[in-house]
Order: sequence, then structure tokens, then C-alpha cells
Amino acid sequence: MIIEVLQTRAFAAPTKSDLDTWINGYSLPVTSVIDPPSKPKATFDTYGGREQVFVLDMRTMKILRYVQGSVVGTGDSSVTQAIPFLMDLLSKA
Amino acid sequence: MRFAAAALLLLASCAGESDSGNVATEDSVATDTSGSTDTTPPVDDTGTTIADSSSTDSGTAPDGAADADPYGAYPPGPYGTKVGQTLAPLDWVGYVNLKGDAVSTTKTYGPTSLDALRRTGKGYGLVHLSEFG
Repeated sequence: MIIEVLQTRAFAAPTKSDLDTWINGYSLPVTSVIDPPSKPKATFDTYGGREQVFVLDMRTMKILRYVQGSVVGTGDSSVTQAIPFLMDLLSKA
Repeated sequence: MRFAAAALLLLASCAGESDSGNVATEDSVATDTSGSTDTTPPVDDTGTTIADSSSTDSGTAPDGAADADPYGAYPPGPYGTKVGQTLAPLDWVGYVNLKGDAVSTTKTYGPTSLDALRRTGKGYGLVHLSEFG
């Protein structure tokens, strides 16, 4: 399961319109979410800033792998770095 | 973000192919050949349990069985963001797309949560945090 969290737009809480633009801009076929209007920026405040990946064991919700990608656009993204680990997990499932 | 998006697309296709190794869901029920004996009920794209129309239930259940929660409560804290720690539950709103079969804006927009997604029965999850510049 992949969960894409659009946590901010220019450091402000994103709207549904922002999420739609984000998804459609990259044709994302994965679960994609934002914080509810009643809890703006809750993800940012709880998990931290962008370009992070958490690979979870969904039975225990424990973090199996953490990756901080580049926030200046250099090097591999956090997702790219996490893929080999996740694929290895799935191959053993 | 472009590289991350491309990676997500790749990962979505790969993860979909591996669904048979996980608990049955609406999209994997028909094709699951793993021989799993897991009896976790299937769920739809919203994380809602799907009624089993093929059930041969006699109508008699052990006391309390009808209230059984196969997933239990969300794991308790303390929560954190480091390896080995439990990720805190959060509420979200957006598009749940478990099948990866279409651009997510074609799915139903609505409330969801990390707990609701946990209850879909998938074995592993990848949470990616991004920002729209």
C-alpha cells in the first residue's frame, strides 16, 4: 500500500483543489490524501517535513525503514531509495 | 518531485502485482492463488468491509463473535518517526486507491485515516510526505 500525503502547499495547508492538481499533474494511481480542514498541517506537525518515506509493517504500524530524501531536488528521491527495501519485503510476503 | 512521482508510478504497479501475498481485498479476491487461509474480510476502496454474498452462515454465532474486530485497536504509543517506533495515527481526507488501476482523482473523495488504511489488511505500507511548491 502506498500513501501519498500532500502535507503543505508553500507551507500552508493544501486544499482539495491542490490535491487534485498534484495527482493529475503526475497521474498518480496511489492513495493520495491531505489533512482534514479541521486539523490543518497535522501531518507536518506530527511526522515532520517533506520528502520523507516511512515503510511500515501494517500489522504493528512500526517503522521498518525511514528515508529522508533531498529537499533541494538532488540525488534520488526518498521513494526511489525506499523501493528496493519495499520490494524485498513484498518478495518475502 | 518528478523522480518521486515516477518512482511512485513504478511502485504502484509493482505493489499491485504483489497483492496476492497479502490479505484478500476486493481486487485480489478473484486472482489470489496463494492458497492463503486468512479469513480477514475483504474491503473496498474506502476501507469498508464488503459483505460476503456467498456466505453459508447458519445464522448462529458464538457469543461475542459478531463484535469481533480482526484488526483490533490501533497500536498504542508512544509514537515516533524513527525505525522501530510506531507511527502515530492521523486522520486524512482524500482518495483511497488500493487497486492502483486509475488516476486517483477518479476515485471517491472522502475521509480516511492511517487506522482505516491499516484495516484494509495490506501487509506493508509506504507513506510519502510531499509538498506542493
